[in-house]
Amino acid sequence: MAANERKRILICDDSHLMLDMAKEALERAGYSVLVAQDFSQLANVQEGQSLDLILMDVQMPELYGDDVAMVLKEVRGVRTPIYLLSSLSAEELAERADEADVDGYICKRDGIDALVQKVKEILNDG
Amino acid sequence: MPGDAKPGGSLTDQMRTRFGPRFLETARARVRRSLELLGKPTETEKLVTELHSLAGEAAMLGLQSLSDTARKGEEQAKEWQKGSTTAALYCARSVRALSQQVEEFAASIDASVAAPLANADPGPSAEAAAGKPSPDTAAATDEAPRKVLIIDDSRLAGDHLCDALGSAGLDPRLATAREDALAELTQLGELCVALRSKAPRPVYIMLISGMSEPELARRAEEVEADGYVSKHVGIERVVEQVLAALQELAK
Repeated sequence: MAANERKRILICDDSHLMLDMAKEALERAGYSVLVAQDFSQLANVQEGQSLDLILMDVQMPELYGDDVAMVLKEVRGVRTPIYLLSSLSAEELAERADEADVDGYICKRDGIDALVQKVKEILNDG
Repeated sequence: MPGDAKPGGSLTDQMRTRFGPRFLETARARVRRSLELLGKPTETEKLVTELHSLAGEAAMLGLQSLSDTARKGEEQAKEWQKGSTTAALYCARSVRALSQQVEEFAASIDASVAAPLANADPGPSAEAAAGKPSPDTAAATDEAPRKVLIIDDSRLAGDHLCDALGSAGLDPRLATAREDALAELTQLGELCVALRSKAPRPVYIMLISGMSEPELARRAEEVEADGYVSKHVGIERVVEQVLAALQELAK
C-alpha cells in the first residue's frame, strides 16, 4: 500500500517503550503511525493532520488522557474517532470512555495482537 | 516468562524478541524508581504512574503475571494515596515481587542481558543520575552476594531497605526486634558485642536511624559500631553507604 493511502493513527502515551511497540505493530499491519508523549506534542502533531484514529493513554504524569480527549472533542472540535488505550480494567475504561464521551476503549491487558485486531475492526480493515 | 505468556500468536512472540531486552531495561528502571518512591509518602502519584506504565508495557508483551503484579501494586499505591498505611506495606511487597519477576524474565530471555544494566531507559519521570555510582554495578561480580543483616523493629522500613539492598546485588536478611529492646542503649551495645563474637568472620556494624546525625554519631561511638547513616538522607544514599562499608571491610 502506498504511504499516502495508509490510514493514519496517532498514539499518545507517556511510555516511550509503549509507543515504539504499538507503532511497530501497527506499521507492520499497514498503518501510518504518529506518536506523542504529552499534550504539547499531541497538540503539535494533531494540528493540521488528517487522522483516521487517535489512541489515548489514560494515566499519564500530570494529566489524564480522558480529560485530554474531552478537550480535543469539545474545545478543539476534533472529529477523528478517539479511543482510550490503557491497562485499566475494561469496566473502569468503559466508565471513563462514557464520561469523556469518546468513541471507545482498548485494553492493553489483552496484548498487542488484540490491539492490532481491535484497530482493524475500528477502521473496518478486519 | 516461560509458562506465563498468553497464547498471543506470532506477533506477540516477535515483539517479545524484538523488545524484550529494552523492556527489561525499562522494567528494572521502573522497579528501582518504585523502590525509591516507597520511601516518599508525598510522591505516591509518581509511584502509581510507574506501576501503571509497567503494567501496560508488560501486558503488551504478553507477560500477564508481571502485569498483574504491577497492577496490584498500582491499586495498593492508590489506596496508600488515600491514607492507608497497610496498603503501603502491601505495595512494598508487590514491588519486591515485581523485582523478582523482572529478573526471572531476564533469565528467560538471554543470559547476555541477565546482568543488571547501569544505564537504564530513564522514561518521563527519571532523575538525572550522572556522576552517581550505580547500585546495580557495584556488586556485579562473580562472587556470591555479600550478606547484610538488617535489624529493625519496623517491618515496613526493614522490607524497604531489604528491597533496595537486594536490587543493589546484596543478600539482605531482615530480623525484626521488639521496639523496647532496641530503645535500650545498653542492650544495643550488648547486641553489637554478641554479633561480633558470633560472626564467623569480621563484620561491619552500621547504625541506621531516623534520629539526628549528632545523636546517631554519639550512639554509634558508645556501642562501638563501625559506622552510621541517617535515614533522612534517602534510600539511595543509605545503599551507597552500605556498599562503601562493604568495600572497606573487604580491604
